[in-house]
Amino acid sequence: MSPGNESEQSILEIRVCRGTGCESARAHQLLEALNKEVADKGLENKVRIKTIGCHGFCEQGPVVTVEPEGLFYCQVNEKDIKEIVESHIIGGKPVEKLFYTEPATGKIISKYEDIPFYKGQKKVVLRNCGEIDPSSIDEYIEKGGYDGLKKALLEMKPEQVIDQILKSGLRGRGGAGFPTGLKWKFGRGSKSDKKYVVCNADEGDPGAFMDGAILVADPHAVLEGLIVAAYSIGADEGFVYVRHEYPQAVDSIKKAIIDSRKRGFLGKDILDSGFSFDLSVKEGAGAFVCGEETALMTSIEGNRGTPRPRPPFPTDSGLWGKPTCINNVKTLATIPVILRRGAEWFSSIGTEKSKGTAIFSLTGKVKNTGLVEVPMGTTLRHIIFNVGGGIQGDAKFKAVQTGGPSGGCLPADKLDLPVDYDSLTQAGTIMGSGGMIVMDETTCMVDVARYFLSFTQAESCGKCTPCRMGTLEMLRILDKIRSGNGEEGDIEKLQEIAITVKEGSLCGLGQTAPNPVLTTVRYFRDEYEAHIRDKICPAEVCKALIKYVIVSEKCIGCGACLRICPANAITGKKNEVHIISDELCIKCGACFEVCPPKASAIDKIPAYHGGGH
Amino acid sequence: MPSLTIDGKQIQFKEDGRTILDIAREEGIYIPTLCDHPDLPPHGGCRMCLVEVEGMKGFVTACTTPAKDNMIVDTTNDDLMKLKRNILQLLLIEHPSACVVCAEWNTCNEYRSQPFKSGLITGCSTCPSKASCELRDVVEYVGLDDLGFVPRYKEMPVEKDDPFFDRDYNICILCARCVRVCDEIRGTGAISFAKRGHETRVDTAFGNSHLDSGCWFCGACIDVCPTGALSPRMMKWHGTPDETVVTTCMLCGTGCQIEFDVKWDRIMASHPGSENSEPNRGHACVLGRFCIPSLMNAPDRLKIPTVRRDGVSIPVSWDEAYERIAEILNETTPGRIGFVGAPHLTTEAAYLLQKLARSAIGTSNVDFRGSGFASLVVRTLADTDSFAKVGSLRDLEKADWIIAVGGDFVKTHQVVAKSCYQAVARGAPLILIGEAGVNLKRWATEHIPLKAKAFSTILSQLAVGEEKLKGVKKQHAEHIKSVVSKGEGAIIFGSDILLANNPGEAMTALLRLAGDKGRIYPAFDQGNEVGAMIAGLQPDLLPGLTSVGASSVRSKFEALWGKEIKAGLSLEQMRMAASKGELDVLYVIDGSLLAKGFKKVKHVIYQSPFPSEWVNRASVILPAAGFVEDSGTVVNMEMKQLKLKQVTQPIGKSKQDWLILTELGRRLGSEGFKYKSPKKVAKELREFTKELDSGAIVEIESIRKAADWNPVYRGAILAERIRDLKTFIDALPERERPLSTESMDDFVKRLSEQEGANTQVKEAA
Amino acid sequence: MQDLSRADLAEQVIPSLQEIQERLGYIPREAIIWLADKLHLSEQEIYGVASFYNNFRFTLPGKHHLRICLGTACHVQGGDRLLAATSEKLGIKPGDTTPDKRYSLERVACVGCCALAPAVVLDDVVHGRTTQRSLKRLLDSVDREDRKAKKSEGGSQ
Repeated sequence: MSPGNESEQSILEIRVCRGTGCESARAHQLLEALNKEVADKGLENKVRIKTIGCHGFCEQGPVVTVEPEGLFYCQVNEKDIKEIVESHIIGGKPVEKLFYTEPATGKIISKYEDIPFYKGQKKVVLRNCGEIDPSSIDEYIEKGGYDGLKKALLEMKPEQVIDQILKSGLRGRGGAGFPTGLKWKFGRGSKSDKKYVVCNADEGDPGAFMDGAILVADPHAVLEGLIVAAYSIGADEGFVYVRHEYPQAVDSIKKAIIDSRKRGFLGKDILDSGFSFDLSVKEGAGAFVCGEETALMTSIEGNRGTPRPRPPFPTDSGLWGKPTCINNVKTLATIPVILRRGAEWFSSIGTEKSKGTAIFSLTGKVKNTGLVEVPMGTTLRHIIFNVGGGIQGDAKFKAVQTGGPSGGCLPADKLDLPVDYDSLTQAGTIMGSGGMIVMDETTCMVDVARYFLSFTQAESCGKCTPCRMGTLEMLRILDKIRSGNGEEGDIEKLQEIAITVKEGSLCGLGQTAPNPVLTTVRYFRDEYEAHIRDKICPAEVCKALIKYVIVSEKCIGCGACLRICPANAITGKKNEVHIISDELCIKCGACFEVCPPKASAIDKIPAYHGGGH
Repeated sequence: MPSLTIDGKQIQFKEDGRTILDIAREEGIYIPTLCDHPDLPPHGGCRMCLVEVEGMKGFVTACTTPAKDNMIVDTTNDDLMKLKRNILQLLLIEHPSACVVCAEWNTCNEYRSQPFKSGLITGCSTCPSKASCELRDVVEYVGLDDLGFVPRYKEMPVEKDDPFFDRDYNICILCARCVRVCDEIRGTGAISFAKRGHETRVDTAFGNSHLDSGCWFCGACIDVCPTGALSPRMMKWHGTPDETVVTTCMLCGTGCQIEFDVKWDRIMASHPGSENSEPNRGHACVLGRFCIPSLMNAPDRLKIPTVRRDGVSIPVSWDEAYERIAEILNETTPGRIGFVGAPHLTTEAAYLLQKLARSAIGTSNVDFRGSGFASLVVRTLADTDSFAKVGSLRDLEKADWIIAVGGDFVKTHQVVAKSCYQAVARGAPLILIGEAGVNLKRWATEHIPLKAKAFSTILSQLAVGEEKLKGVKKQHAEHIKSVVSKGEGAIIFGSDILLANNPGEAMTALLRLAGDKGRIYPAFDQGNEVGAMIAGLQPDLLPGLTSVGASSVRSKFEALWGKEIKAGLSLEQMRMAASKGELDVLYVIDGSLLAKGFKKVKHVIYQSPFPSEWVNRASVILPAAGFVEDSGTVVNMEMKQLKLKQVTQPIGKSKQDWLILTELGRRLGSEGFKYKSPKKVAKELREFTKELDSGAIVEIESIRKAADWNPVYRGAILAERIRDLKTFIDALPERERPLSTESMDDFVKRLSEQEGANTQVKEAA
Repeated sequence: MQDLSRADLAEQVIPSLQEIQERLGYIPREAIIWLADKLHLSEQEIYGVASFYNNFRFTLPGKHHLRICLGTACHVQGGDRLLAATSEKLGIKPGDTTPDKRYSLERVACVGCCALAPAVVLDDVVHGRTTQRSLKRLLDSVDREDRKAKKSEGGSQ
């Protein structure tokens, strides 16, 4: 079916999102049902069903869009399929109940471009995500894919390509923000009989899924960028190092490589340019530190993924001692569009020092969770309140965390901070790879700091002393504070170790691991002090400082809590007041969650201040 | 010339990739390090060598940062020292040995040399590393006098079940030196880091014993450990030595320089010497590292001369012993007397032994046990004037390709194997011909498991570049040929070559195969086989490898020594003669000589440091000094003359071999035995070795069987004396197996059949 | 073998371990020895690598593999409470397998389902927006199906 054919203009294209979010909401069942229904009704000539990668608005998943109208169905259930087929496809009448309802106004919005979540964004890197079938190289090419590669290979010298990238002002999207063009220039400048390029898709940040999503939704863009990188520095071999935890992304990129090779974009003498390049996929094996480029290389070489000291930098001595250029997924996906539309166009987006767009996986206590892309310099407020639609349950915003375990937490008074590399660094956090987690009053900042630190501590490779023992010691102090045993001086001690770890560690993991602690101390010191002095967790999160009680006046004796309690800590007869045993309670909160809203008989109270709260 | 400034001192240097730390060390500027070691590639883990370099972000590690022109380096500013103190405090969490910050430090320093016993709790009794603790040095330099954090005792049991050394990983600071030396330098990989983060520990696969993990007990891990986590059991308790002396180890032909701890005039422990001493450069093997003190201090060493009277061995003075020997020798026809030396004699003693036979007695019935291999090698080299083709271990490390013929050199010559591995790690292909063990096979690119008798054929075929190699598949043969066709090769071979159908042919073939640029590496099993050859301890060779048949030289010796010289009996010929009753006296210097065939000999004179079966029938027993008690020279497998330096006094009344032979020669009334020291002997010998004559290759008669590795020293079988060595050697066959060639599919199938129904086997994608 | 350099062989360590685990469910002792032979490395070198990475197991996992995501988004949304409750319910710590070999419980850093936090992965299927109740229901349904399967198996014999 050639899409350009006029007689087929009336054909509807139904796009089913199969990003991880929608998939977890049973998108595959929905797709099966849709296929079956269309086949049963013999509608193959009237509709085209297509699967797409992450459309972005995961919160509303599973997401189905209908083209060419640009209609947006959200939270589609397999039971809705019949109606979609009968009413929309056969009857020509869209199913209104599946349209998006704006929570604030109650307005029903049919087209996704009108939804505030999409309206507030600018899609540059995510241009194809949700637009094309990622498994089809033709659809990618149709959208101008591989044009950038053709231009680079056939019309430009490697130096000219590097020059373009330098001019565009593109900085590495992996977190540190090193100018991409400069990295390539170093790679080009290294003399060697063999060079490598590597796509870093080991997105280990807990709470970030952009890289995985792009690999699933638009793998060829990443490939194209990587081939251009190889051409620029003069590499003939490359690797895509992707997390094993992203099976979809692994399959997607593997298929893309095969297709690309078939079309002659990979392999010997690409496009008759005389340039040869090929690559293979390496799956990570579950070590966050391997996102650090030197550790990533040791891992590709087949060793324990411990980082190596720099210098020598990878562009001088990387994989097997050969010059190696490592770029993040988002960086590479940006390359084709820069080549196609020009450095000037790209550098017109963003701020003076941070060009282009920033991509975030917006999650946490925000209404519209999902994948978002905004121009650099956009304020946090815009991202959280316009695109993100504000805080869930219209609760009070407390903090936003960027940069994952290497980043920091910013408080409400930083909401108007423009999001770019330098402003974030100044505020004590980092751009990072692009996780953005929004927190409300029910999030304890000591607990969050402890969470990140426990993560980096567990992921520390153990090679250098400050990171190995420093993070452990900091964790010990945070646990002490969280358990109500904090003492005066703990905060200072925490800061002292944090500085030691930051300045003394071998690699980026250790050098940034203290950031969550340092920023939470900087912006939320009173919360630490409440834990230490008053033995109170203001957000009622730290288990040792709270306890669950059943308010006897409210308990209706329904037994829901008793049934769910995994610790058998709740007793009580049917229709009588139930009681939680403090000794047995593991504070998992299951009872709190299942207590019927009409009763709301379970309460969290401070553990050390017995009475009221 | 580029220059940089370290702590205000301007230093000129050559920009060749050396690091800031390298330059600082050369200039005597101390930068503390814990994970760095001169023998190992930089690691960058301990962070104690952090320095500040102007223009570079943050602090950088001196051990990994190459020195560059115009660098301004600061190693001691306040921020740095504070950071180092903090890092060190973190490090000490994992090293709960209180001694590093103990208030009694100074007092303790004074009395460190004493053995001690004190409670487990203080931590100081369990650490054997008091004489030199690098961690303590760093603590002192950084100026730490208190622990910042509560130490964490990991409560791991001290590992004591393996031979030779204990491992207490509770005080390990994870500097990775042991892991790196075992893996990257020795090529063994018997230990590795397991797990990660603060759970990282040095371990074997699944916590196996070291006997099972492939450890060779070379001790390299102990030598690089900066703490007391690894400790040789025998040297745990004697405290600091009175002195240390370096001498050549004679337990094999490598000629390692070994450093001995001496206390109370006894050797207490041995270590490989410094990184700069050839040939071993700071490495040793299980024998040199762990076995020498037990061997030399053995309670059953021969200590007093004895003479057999009426069937009973009676202690006598040296004079009485010499008297009795003179009697025996004088009453016997010279042709019916035989002398069997040891490959462990110094060159000087070997020279004196043959001189005694030829000049004082008038017989050339001289040989030494196990001379076959040395005889083949040395004579061929002399014949073809190719001594220069013998490489040094340093050369071996630079080889472009290596062929190892007949022998598991990782087992028998651990230090040679280390040099071999260095070449392999650099990418040199290793081709094994003959039987080999698992470790060696892992290094190899090709393994041709031919029987030893086929060596001569395959080596000849390789040497002349024949199309086909007998017993080798075409594809492999082509690969081998392409490997040996370029670059500078190295051929390591051992005494198994004697088992070839034609050892002489094999030997010439491998010389030819090495070509103009290549080198050969004869791995001699005993301490001084070459020296004994050069000294003339052969029935048909005079000192300097001159053939007895060469009349001009012979007559020179005849004039010098006043006796007619003609070719004597080799060891096997002596055995033959003895069995026919044609040999009356046998002078045995090597207790390891088999007594078989010598039953009819009337008198045995036995000279050795150790008792053996010969003791029971010797008419005279002369207690000889062990090699650590002796001085002189030896020639190692590199054909280099190495010094033997006396470490301790001879035990009991024993005497050095050169002295015994000198005194005996004098007692026999010979003029030529007036030496005051081995140096004088060496000087005399040098006259004859200036030019090495070429003689005919003689038929090799002493055929040996390919035997299990069983190190001996003059009648002492080491494994019988050293329990840990026996445990180790006994465990060796267990680890040998052919490397698996099973495919992934077959392996998975086999495993899942084993696992039974529990395992769900998925088809290969 | 001769075409592969030592570096080439070492490069295969992780992919080989992944294939072994994929096919056998874990990394048995024999596999380490077998792989050491194949790749000309020592067993320690293989074990050191395998024990470094989270993904490799040295024991056979249970019939059902339950992974609870503790990525940041999931943590903020109460993932750790889910883990605590499940751990208590199954009576095992994360990383362990129940004595009846039916369940293994694992914590994972992030499965990329952050927008629908908290997420759990049961036998490779991701479930988003998990609550204490929905997780209990999920496990109950697994139990039911297993019982059914066992019954029909028993019946057919």
